[in-house]
Amino acid sequence: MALKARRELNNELMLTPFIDLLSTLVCFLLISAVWTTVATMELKQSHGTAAGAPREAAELDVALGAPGSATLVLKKQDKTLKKTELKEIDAKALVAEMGRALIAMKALPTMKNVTVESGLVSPHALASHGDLVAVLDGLRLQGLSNIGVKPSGGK
Amino acid sequence: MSLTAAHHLHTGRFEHHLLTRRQKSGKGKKVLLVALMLTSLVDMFSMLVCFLLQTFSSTPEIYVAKDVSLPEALSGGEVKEAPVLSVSKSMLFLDQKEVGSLPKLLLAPGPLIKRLEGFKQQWAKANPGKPYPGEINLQADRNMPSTDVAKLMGILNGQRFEVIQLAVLGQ
Repeated sequence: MALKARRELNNELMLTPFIDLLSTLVCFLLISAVWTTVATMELKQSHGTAAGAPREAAELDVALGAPGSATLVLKKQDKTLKKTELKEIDAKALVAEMGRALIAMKALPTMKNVTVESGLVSPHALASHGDLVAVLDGLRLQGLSNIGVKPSGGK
Repeated sequence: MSLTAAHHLHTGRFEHHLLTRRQKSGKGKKVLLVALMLTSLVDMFSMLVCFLLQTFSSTPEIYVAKDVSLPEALSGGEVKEAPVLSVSKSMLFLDQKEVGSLPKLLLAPGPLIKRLEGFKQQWAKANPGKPYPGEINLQADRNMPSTDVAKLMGILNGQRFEVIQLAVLGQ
């Protein structure tokens, strides 16, 4: 009596459909891949009477000058609390110095229980768009949620 | 190639079967066997899929014109779906369609205003009864004068585009 051969369980992975699936996935992901990360910086531009800044909070006006220079004016209810002039080598150094100046402004006795929530930047003809964005980025990193650019020539 | 050689190569069961079959039919002739190393291929594919899945982004993306070099920012947020106004060194595009030369449009913004109005009307037709959110994506070259960007923002504000998303390169 011949011994019955034991049926073996085929536990091998089907590689062909697996490779097909992986190839399709690789193609899809390569096509939809994003190599440069484009982000956005939201500017809320006030229009007419619909001013964005709350009346109780202080606001910061930044007037860009020639590259590396700026004037910071801290205001509260249209009254100037402090004015600081900055002059640095480039936009990067200016942004760092602006951060320090803003911290000093927040520490003023008149700023007790007052937050700086909005900032408005006035551009200068010699300042590039890159410098403007660097300053706006610096303001956002300092916790100013409502930032804008003073438009010129608008109707 | 002998059977021992096949063992020495650490080939799989299927390759081993092929080798022995060829050896039997070839009566001792040298057999050339070309076998694709599937294990390493699958490994490579899996790693590629993992890497691409990690870098996959489902947020909307905006087309950046070739001659526009965007400024960098650390506090950039996600891109929102809105019309894209792109400013290269001399030309202005709205949703990849040329509007005109920037210096001319800053002096006489009529064609740009017309396009923006058309866009708002299209939006109002598609979303009846809803107020227009006034959002627009603005792409500008990092080296262009900031005053030109400010003038453009003035034109946009005049047309009730009050939420301007400045396109930047995120970190």
